[in-house]
Formats: sequence, C-alpha cells, structure tokens
Amino acid sequence: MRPAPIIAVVALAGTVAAAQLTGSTASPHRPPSHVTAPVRHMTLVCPNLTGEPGTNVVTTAVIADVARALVPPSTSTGRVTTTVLKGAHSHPHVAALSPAGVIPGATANNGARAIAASGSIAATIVADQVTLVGAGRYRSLTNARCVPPSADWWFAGADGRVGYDDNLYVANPTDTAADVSVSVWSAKGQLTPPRLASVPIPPRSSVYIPVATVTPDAATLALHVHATSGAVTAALIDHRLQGVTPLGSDWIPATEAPARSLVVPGYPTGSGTRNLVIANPGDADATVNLKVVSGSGSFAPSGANQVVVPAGKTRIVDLSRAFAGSTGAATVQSDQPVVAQGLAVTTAAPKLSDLMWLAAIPPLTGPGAFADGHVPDGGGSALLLTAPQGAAQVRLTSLNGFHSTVTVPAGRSIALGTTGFNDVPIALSGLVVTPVGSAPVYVTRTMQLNGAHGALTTSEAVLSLPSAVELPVVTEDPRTAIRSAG
Amino acid sequence: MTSPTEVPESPGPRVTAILLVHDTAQWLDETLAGITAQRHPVDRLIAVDFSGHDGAFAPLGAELDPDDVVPVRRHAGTGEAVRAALKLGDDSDWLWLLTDDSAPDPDALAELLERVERAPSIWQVGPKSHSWTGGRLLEAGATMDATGHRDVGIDAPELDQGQRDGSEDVLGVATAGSLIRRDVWDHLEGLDDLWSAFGDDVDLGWRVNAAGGRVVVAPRAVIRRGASPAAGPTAASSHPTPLWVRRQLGMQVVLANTSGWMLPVLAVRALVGGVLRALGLLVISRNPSGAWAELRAVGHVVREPGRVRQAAARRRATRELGRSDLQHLFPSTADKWRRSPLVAGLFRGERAEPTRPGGSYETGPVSEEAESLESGDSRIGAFLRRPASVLFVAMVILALIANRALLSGTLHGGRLLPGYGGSGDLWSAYFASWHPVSVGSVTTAPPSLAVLGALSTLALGKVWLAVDVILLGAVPLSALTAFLSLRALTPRTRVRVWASIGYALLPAVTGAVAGGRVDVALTAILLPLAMRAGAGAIGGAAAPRGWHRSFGAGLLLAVIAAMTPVLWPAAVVLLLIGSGLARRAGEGVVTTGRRVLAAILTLLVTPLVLAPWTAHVVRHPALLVTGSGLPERFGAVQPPGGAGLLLLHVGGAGQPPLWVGAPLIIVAVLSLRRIRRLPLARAGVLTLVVGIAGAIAATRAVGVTPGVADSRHYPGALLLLAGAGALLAAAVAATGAAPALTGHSFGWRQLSALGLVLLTLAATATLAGSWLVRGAGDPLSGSGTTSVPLFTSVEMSQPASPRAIVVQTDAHGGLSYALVRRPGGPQLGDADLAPASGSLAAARLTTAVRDLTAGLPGAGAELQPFAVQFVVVPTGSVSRLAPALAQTPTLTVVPAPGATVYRSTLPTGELSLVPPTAAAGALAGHPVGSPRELPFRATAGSADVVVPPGPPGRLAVLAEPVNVHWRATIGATVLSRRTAYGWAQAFELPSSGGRLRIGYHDTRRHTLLWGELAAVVVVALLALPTGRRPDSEVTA
Repeated sequence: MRPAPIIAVVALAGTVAAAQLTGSTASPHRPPSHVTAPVRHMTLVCPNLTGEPGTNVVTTAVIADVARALVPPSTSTGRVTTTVLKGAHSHPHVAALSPAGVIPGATANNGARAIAASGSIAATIVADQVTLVGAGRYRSLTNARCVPPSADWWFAGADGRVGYDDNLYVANPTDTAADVSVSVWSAKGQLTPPRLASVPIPPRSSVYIPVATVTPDAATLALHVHATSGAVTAALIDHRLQGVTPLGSDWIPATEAPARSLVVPGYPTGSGTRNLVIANPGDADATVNLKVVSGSGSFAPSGANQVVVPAGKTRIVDLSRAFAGSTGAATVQSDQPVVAQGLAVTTAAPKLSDLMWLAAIPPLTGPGAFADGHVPDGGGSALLLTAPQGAAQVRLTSLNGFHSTVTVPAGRSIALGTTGFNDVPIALSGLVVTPVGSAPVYVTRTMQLNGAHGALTTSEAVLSLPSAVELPVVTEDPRTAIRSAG
Repeated sequence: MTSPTEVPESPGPRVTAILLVHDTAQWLDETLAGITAQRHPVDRLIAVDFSGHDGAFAPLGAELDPDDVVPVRRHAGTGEAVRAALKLGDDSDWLWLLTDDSAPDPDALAELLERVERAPSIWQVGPKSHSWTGGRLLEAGATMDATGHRDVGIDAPELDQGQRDGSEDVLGVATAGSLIRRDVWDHLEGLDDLWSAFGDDVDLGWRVNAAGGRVVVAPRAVIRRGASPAAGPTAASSHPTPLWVRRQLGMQVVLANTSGWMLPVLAVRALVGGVLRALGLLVISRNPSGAWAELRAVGHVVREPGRVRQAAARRRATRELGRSDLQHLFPSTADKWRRSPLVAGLFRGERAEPTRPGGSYETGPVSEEAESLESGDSRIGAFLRRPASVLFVAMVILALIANRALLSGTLHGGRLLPGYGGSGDLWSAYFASWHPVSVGSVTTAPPSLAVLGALSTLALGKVWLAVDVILLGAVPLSALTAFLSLRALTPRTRVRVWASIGYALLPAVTGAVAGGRVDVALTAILLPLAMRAGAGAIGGAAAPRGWHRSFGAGLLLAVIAAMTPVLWPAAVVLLLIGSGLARRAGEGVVTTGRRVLAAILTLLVTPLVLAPWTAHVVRHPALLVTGSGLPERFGAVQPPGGAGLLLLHVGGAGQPPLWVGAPLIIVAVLSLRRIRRLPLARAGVLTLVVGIAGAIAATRAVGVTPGVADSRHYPGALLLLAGAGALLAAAVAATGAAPALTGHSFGWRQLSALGLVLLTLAATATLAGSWLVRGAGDPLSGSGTTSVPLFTSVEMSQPASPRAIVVQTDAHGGLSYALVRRPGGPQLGDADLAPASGSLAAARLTTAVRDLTAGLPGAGAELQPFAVQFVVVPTGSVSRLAPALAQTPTLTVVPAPGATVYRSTLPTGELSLVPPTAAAGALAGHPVGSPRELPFRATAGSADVVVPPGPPGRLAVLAEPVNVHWRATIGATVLSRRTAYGWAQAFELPSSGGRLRIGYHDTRRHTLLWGELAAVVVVALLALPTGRRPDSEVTA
C-alpha cells in the first residue's frame, strides 16, 4: 500500500482518539442551585368574625407569632396590621403581638378580617378564628384557619337541600379587583349555576353566597372557587338543621386540589357517623381504593374498600363501622384525580350533636403550627397524628416553653389529649409541630366541649409554616415569545 | 379565391427577381441554381453587381443576359440597388428580392405567391431562413423593440421541426427572399438607404404595416442563408457592421417610425435608457465593449437629429396606422428582458456550452449538454433534458416531499426566529449601533445580517421568502451547485450526480435545515462554488491565471465567512497547504510563489470586506464557532463522540443512521491510491481531516452559553467542509475506477470494489430515504405565531411603547421568559443582536421575572422600570404560574385565547417622567420602580416630546441601559445624564420644560460601514475579468 492512505488513516484516527480522550473529561452537568428568598410578606384572611362576648355568638381570632417556639427558637421582626374588609372604608390597624394577640369579634363589624404581616414575622405568623354559638339554630363550635389568598380553592360536602344552610365566603384582601368563577359538582353531576360563572370581588372586600340560593335542592356538592383574576380566599360554612333542631355546624376547610392520592386525617375518637365525601370533577369515572389508618392499624374497610365515583359526580362513603370509635385517617388512592373531604358527627343522644369537617391535607414538610389551642368554656382539645407509611417522630414546642417528642407508629394514628396521652398540656397558645426527619405525618387539632345541650366539636388541620420562597431558575429565551401550533 | 379545378382566367402574377450580388461568389452558384429550379418560374431575373466595375462576377455573365446585370457602386444601399435594377424597365406585379447567399428551395416562390394570392391584404411576404447546410432555423420574421434591438424571437439556431410555422403577421421580414408588391414598393419608396447597414428590412415592413398592409411569413417557403439575416445584405462582405452602428441605426429606425407626439418621449427614453443600459452592460454583464457601443450609438443619434426628423416626415405621408395599432407586432416585455444583453450577460455562465463560431451557424456536439440539444424539440424540452436540470428538478420534488410539513406559515424553530420583517429591518439593524432588542443592546451586528438583508432585498424585500429559499431549497440548491462545481473535476455524469446528491444530503445539511440554521444552510449552497473558485484562484491544474480569480474567490469566501466564520481559519489551512499540493513536477519557484500569493490574496479579502466585524471577532474569538440565530440548546450535555464526528454526524436534529458515513470515508481514503488525479484526492482528504479535526476541537466545550448547561457549539459548518472534502476525494476515486480495475485480473479487488460501490449507493439511498420519511423539519416548524395575543399587540402600539414579557415553563423544568418590544414579537436578526450577557439591566430583569414567578408581591414594581406593561402566560403554563402572579397586587388579569395576560396597573413606557419626590429613590439605584406621571410618547430609543414646566429635580427616565451615546436636549441645552435604578438612562429635566429630544448618537459604526462598502466595491471591481468576452454581442 502506498504511504499516502496510511498517513490519512493515521491522521483521522488521531483526531478521533483525541476526541474520545477529551470527550470524557467534559465538565459534567451540574443542576443550577436553587435560590430561595425569605418570606417577607404574608396576608391571612379570617373568614367571618361576627359575634362578640356577652351575646349568644362569641367569636375570637387569635394571631400568634410562633418564632420563639421554633426548633431552634428564633426571633422575628416586622409589622402586623389587621383590616376589616369593607371596601373603600377598610383601614388597617396595627396589631400588637406579645407574642400572641386576640382580636375580638364584633356583631357590628361582621365580615372578613385581613391580617397583613411584613418583615421576618411574615414567615412565622399563624391565625385562626373560633366561634361558639351557645344555642339556637346554629348552635355549634366552629373553628377556621386564617389563610393567605390564592387562585384556587376546593371544597366538598356542601349541600343545597332543605335542612342545610351553607354559605360560601369569598374575600379579596388585595388592592386590585378580583373575579371568581365557581364550578359545582353534585351527586347527580356537574351543575352550571349561571350566577357563579363570574363573581366580581372588589378590592379589600368580602362577599358571601348562600349555597341554597344558587344550587337549590342539589345534594353533596363539591365546589371549585377559581380566581380568574386576582387572588382571593374562600371559606365555606355548613349548618345542618332538622326543622328548628340544630344538627351541628362547622367550616368546611379547604381541601387539596384534585389528586390521585389523598390523606384525610383527623377523625376523632368517639361514637357517631364517620363519612368521606369524594368528588370526581374529571371526565372519566374514578375507581377509588380506600384505607383507614386507625389507632389499631391500617386496613381496607370491608364493603367500602373500593368505590367508583362516576365522572362529574360526588359520592358519600360511610366509614363509621370501619373507624368503630377510633381516631384515624382515611387514605384515598384513585385512578383519576378526585377531591375528598371528611365528616365526623359526634352524637350525644339524647342531647344535641355537632359535626366537624376534615380536609385532605399535605403531610408536614416543616414546622407546622396553630395559633390557639384554648377551648372556650373549659372544653378539651386533642392533637391527632397519623403516619400512614412509616413510623414518624414529631417534636412539640409551644410559646410557653413546653416541649416534647412524640412517636407515631407506622400505619397508625394516635390522639394526644389534654388529659390523655402522657399528660401533654397542649391547650396552649401557639403550638409548633416539627417533624423530625421521618415518614410523612399528618396532624390535626380537635376541640371538644360537652355543652349544656350536648356535644360541641370542631377541627383544624396543622399546616406547615410557609417555608422560604423558592425562587425558580429563570432564563431569558426569545423562543418563549413564539408559540408553536400543534 | 381560386379553386384548384378551375383554370385561372389570367396568367399568374408576374414576378421579377432581383438578385443582389456582393463581392463574394461563395454561394452564388447554388443561389442561381435555386432560382432556376423554381416550380413557379420567375418572369425576369435582374442581378445587381456590387463589385463596382463591370464584369467582375463571371458567373453572372454566364448565366444571365448581360442587359439584366446592373452594376452599382460598391457601398450602395440595398434600396438604391433595387431602384437601379427597376430602372431597366419593369412591369411586374411582384418583386422578389434575393441576395447571393440566399438559395431558395424549389417551392419557395410558389409558396410565397400562394400565400399572397389567398390574402390580398398581404403586401409583403417573406420565407423562413434556414442555415446553409440545412435544418436549423435562423429567422422567421423579425421585430424591433423600443430600444432598437432587432429581435427574431430565436436565441440560437434551432432545429426546424415546424415549431414556428404558425403563419403570423410580423413587423418585418428579412430582405433576402422577401416578395413585395411592386406598387407598394413604389408607394413607400422601397428600402430606405439611411439604414441599409442595419434595420432597413424591419423599417420597410414597419412602413408596410403602418400603411395598412400586412407583412407575413410563409412558413413553407424556405431559403437557405449563408450569412446571418440580421447582419443585412452587406454582412456577406468581409467586414460586418460594427455593433455601435447597428445600435445607432436601430434607435433611429424606431424614432423615425414613431408618430410625432411620441417622438420626444421616445427620444428621451432612448437617451436615458441608452446610458443606463451602458452602465448595466458594464457593471452587470461586465461587457465594456457593449457599453461603449451603446454610448457611442446614443451619441450619434443625438448628433444627427435631422436624419431622424426627415425620415419621420417621409413616413408621415404614408402612415395610416399608429404604433398602438401595431402593438401586437412588437416584442412583449418578457421577451425583451429574456433576450436583453444584460440578462444574457448575467446568465452567460449558466448557458449550455455556447459555441457559435463567427459566420457559421453549425454547432458540433461538444458536451453532454449540447448533445441533449441535438434531439431537442423545444427550449423547455432541451432545458429539462440537461442532467443539471433533471437533478435539480428531481431534488426539488424530493425536497417538497420532505418539506411537506413546512410549506405553510412562516418558518421558525431551532435557532431560527421567524422572518416577519422586511429587508429594510435587517439593513437598518446592520447599520445601527444600538438595537431595541431585549433590554436594549449595543452588540455589534454580524455581517450575516447584511448577507440575509441582501438576499431578502433580492426576494422582493421579504425576509421570510429568502429564509424559505435558503432552508427549504438548501438540499436541491446545494445539489445543483455541487453538480455544477464538479463539472471541472469529472466528465462522468453518473459520478457527478451521485456526489452532488451525497453532498446535498450530508447530515450537516439536513441537520442545518432541521435545526433552522440559516447560516450553515446558506454555506452548504455556496461551499461547492467557493471550493471550485478557490481551486481556480490558486490554479488547480495549471499556473494561476489572473488575479481577479483570487478576488472573486475571496468575495465568495467572505460571504461564507460572514455566515459561518469558522470556515475562514479552515480556509487558511486548506488554501495554504493546497497551494503546495497543487505544485506540479518541474514547476518553477516563481509559479509556486504565485500560487501562494494567490492563496493569500484570496484569504485577505474576507477580513477586509468584513472589516468592522473582523475586529470584533478578534476580541471575541468564540464568535467563530457560535453560529447565528438563537442560542444552541441540546438535550444532552455530553459532547458528541469522535466516531460520530468522523462519520460526519453533527448531532442534534435531522440525523440519519450512523453507519451511512462509513462508506464515504473509506472511499475517500482509498482515493489516495489513484495516481492520475492525486493532488485532487489529497486536497479532498486534507479537507476531510481539517474539517473533522476542527469539529472535534469545536465540540469539546460544554456550557458555552452562560446559564445554559446543555449548550455547546454546533460543528455543522466544519463537518460540511469535511463532507465536501470526502465527496471530492470519493469522486476522484470513482472517476475512472473501472478502467483502473480492468487492468487487474478478476479477483478480490473487483469484488471488494463492487461491494464498496453497492455499500456507498445503499448509504446514499438510506440518507435520502431517512430524510424523506422523517421530513425536513422538527424543530424547524412552519406553523405557529407569536404568543402575544392580538389585543395585547394592539395595546403595545400605544404611543408610550409599552412592552410585554412572555413567561412560560420550558422543557427543562425551569422558567423562561422573553421581553417583547414590538407587537409582532421577536424576529429574525434579534437573536444575533442580543445584548452581551452579564449586563446589569439584563440581570435585574431576570431577577424581576424570578420574583414575579416566585410570587413576591413587589415584582410588579421591579418590572416597571423595564416598561413592562403586560405579562403574557401561555395557557399551558397558567396552572403553574397563576398562583404566583396572583400575589402581585399591581397585575390585573385579562383572559385571552391561548394565553392569560396580566396587565400592570403601574404607568410605564419607554420614556417616563419621575417627579422630584421619587427621583432620589430612583437615583439611589434601588431596583424597584418609582411613582411616576404618565409616560411620554416615544419609540424604541428615541423621543421627541414637549415636557410641561414643573418643579426642579424631575427626571426623564428612558427604559434603556445607560450609555454615553444617549443624548437628550431641550432646545439647545444638553441635559445632564444620570443613572436610575442602577442601570437605566435618565436625564435631569429643567423646571422650564420644553421640547425634549432623545436619541442614540454613535457615528463610528457608520464611518466603518462606509469603509466596508468601499472595500466591497473595490474588491468587486478587482474581481471583474479583464479580458474581452468573445460572445458579448451575440444577442445584440
């Protein structure tokens, strides 16, 4: 062979070899580090502070800065104001927290209350409202967490039939007008109430919509409140009556958006009906597998281990026999995204009963807190913890220096009562629940009171405090401005 | 009408033939024999002897009665000669004019007479002129365009198969062979001797037509001509009429036959048009002698107005019809352009082997192209039978199939932004030193914008059309240029076809199309021509011929370097080594030196004509490999392996299976075993090695775009070069491989060669097949539009020039955004003008968008200084972004089809007035916007508004990054410059107010671009060949 081809082959082979050698040393791909920003602004809205001491209806809101109860304790600075949302007449008032503060409700000032925090305190502030109605049609103990505005709110379990008196409260704490559309699904399918297609919410104001007026005679409703513009808070209260006899009331807490996997914790101990309302807002029938995680273990409830929720419909599943008086949680595994909400009725026959609504919530991802564990009129409260997957450990700390560590066995639920487990005095202001690096854990707080006429109950989920805002990785790319069709 | 069965009452019309005999007796015998053999005999034959003295032409004396031979002076005009003949006394009905070189077929006169007998409205009839040796049609009637070019409607002698036999009325017929009514001749006073050198035949026909008669061609009457009919009767003499005389007489004929009121118009048109044509001939056709003739002709026409005036007066007496009545006899505009010497000059190189030796009209088969002409029945048929045409048409059809998804809408995708704008946008972007792109950019415009601008200008100003031609036509056009460039290399059509298809389907070409890489696609089209020109410049086979080749090749290289700058350093290596490779045995040092010098000259053109850019690239060498268009994004971060690059795989979109590159590389290396054309094979393999080595070097770096981890350089241009080199070597190997193999007895050589050929063909077929199946696009796309909804676009046209940002989730899980400054969205060129990364303004905008998408309530105020009035979120990203954007209190939501638009309630615009109370905060550099009064009317980067009087300390804030070249004036006062928000250009406003003018003033780039223009013009002039072109007057 003549030398020329050999030279060419050697030259080509040399370049390729160089490529292979250098190719492996190319710098590996490092994912861009995530940047976070501390939470500096927080607005919480308590839905309805109607009711003042000395009357039949007593409402109080408690605001707590739980910075000192964090592990480790920290300090916070900033400014907190409260505003009665009444449109152009809204004026903020500076709230003094040391470290908690109480906002008394008022009969005259009925309406939503916005709590705005700026500064580092925004990351550690929590608030809730408790209303005790001693007698009358609406006799009940109700409790609502004060929540920041968002674009979407999901509820299930409302009713438009006779015997129910449900109200939807939508508040807009921002300075720009908002507009919401409410989608409704019932036991018979999706409803399209024309009045709910577009509801304007003026700046710094709150509106309420009686459910029975927009969806009369519709049973077992699921609602999706969607802010097509702006951001709002939404709250739904459920009053049940038989004639003039009150059957109980509670705020239906906002539940998780449709998902295939949900956990509804917080079923209390005691006798009474235990229901799970499941709504399927999608276009395909959902096959839902249910499990109960009770104090004695987790199992599929016989007869209700698998239910089908037709597309666009809602359904009530009775879990009373499954819980059998034990505390616990219901878990939902579905092949289609569904919405779930729990209902627990505490009966005190022959006296009156009361009910509590439970939400599907996410597990604690960081310290979670509630503002006040104090039950009016000397009632008791309990902390319900569920660890559906593995054993979980949480640390309990409160503003008055109490601290304790609790372990939840795998696949179990436990209840910590004021007089029950280990004599934990949780009826304290500003309790912080911090998961200690373990399996997912779900925490709710119940309040129970044996009133003169019977049971009074309510529940509140313990949600994680807002963590530092994760700042997304943003890059400029002119392609973004071009939309490819198809 | 005479029926065939009836005997005509009177004997047939009497015909006198007048034979004009010039010096030469070359054709006379045959001509006389032809006259004698007429089926319808002539009644009388008179010969006119131009020899100037009696008895010069012996044959005349022998054949004719001496009384019928009329001597005239040597340079007598044709008309004068005929009149002299008629003085002998003639009472005929018809005159048949013949010349010594026009031999009529035996039926000619009968056919002519038959035509006029049937239609008495015909006053003059002419035959078809064939070439002397027969068969080829020279002329069948003639006309004249408005500039005095005689036009016969036939570009080159064509085989007469009756294709022009539709007996049509014509403006005039050639004198030789024409039959004219005797009374008409007398009435019109015959041929005009003023233009006997040129154009008298058309002039006579024109007058016949104008007087109300008809002039037609009788297609069945044929005469054979020894000389060109266009040259006139005197052409048979030894000296043809000079071009300038023909041009002058042509113009005068047109003017003289034009009615009075049109005359001044046409005269001016002839003058101006003549000068312009001369200019065009000089610049476009590079035909200086033609230009000189044009100028000289115009000069003579101007100097002799009386001649035209008198002639026009004579014609007025007999004219019955005006020019508009004869409109159908003049050439159409399309014909005029097609046969214009300008156009002919432009496309001279494209014609099929134009061989037309002077005097003779016979063309011998000299090439395959000409061969296909032989059997041609029409020009279209001939065109379609050329291998280049067949290849091109076939590739166009294949490309249409592959491009099936891309044929509607504006192309975009990959690195390509849609070309919504016009060529003017590209040109102004190229000339400007500040660009309204992203947050505002002072990036130096790359010359690729000028190239695209020039192509868009040619494409009627449509950028999208130019982009369509480049991208959708990349494969067929590069096949065509490769085929044409290979002509010099090998005469074997099959090898050329294979090599050019292989080139056009190289992974680099299909990848460039699929990835929307206009730069590589245009380079793919031009590279074969540039390689051919480069070889010509350094003298591939022989010593370098003429420095103009270096400048021409240099210009071509400069265009390629403008698109893909990385090929310039590659060309340095190739041309310098190539000039060494081209050295032949026994070549002198001087010749080798000339080769090297030619190579250096070729290389130096690029940095010279790209001057402002050259300096920029020297400072930023990464620009060599960055490529034009949007930043690269790849799915993988690992650079392509060496084996893939060796097999010419570029990576990314539009790639065939890996193995198809292997046979080509093997054949290319084997070409080095061929002794006959070893230098060429060496050059090919050298190009291959240089291209692959360059590609490997260019692809090793990862993360070349700041912030984009999976970005790296695209080796398309370098692998294109490598592929071209491989195909060059492979074509050398394939040419004559068969004879080389037959030298050996049948054995493993033949078998392996056969296997290799089959493998290579299979590889090419696979390339084509996979391309057709996959389609040419993706990510390149033909459908799609801006994400900005229509109503937002309309609102962006407000006087304050508010802007929009589009935010959406990207394929990599992150968020991407685009600042949209013009209602139509980003367009071609914007990506090349993007501001340099790392500017404070860009970082602040990114931070603002990040805060916005994180749901921080202050983000609205952060966006205000950037004049962002709208945040557009495409529907697919709404669920992710709506909760965050709802946290910003200054945004209100407007749902729209395809997107949700958030409108800022903060007033903002290109130019805003910040009151004194907020000025301190703005000047302190905080990123948040400040309370401001309503924005002013302003366009991107400039404003001219009236500012009302107000308190001192106000600021006019421009939503553009600070730069010393911003200038604001009120009256004669130059406002002092300040910096707002840490980055924005602001000016201190006087309390008096007044008319505020703001603009960006930087004249350095204009100065440099004038220099660049001068360099381009000088090099272009130097690239003009210096020699005279022999075929420059063919179509005059």
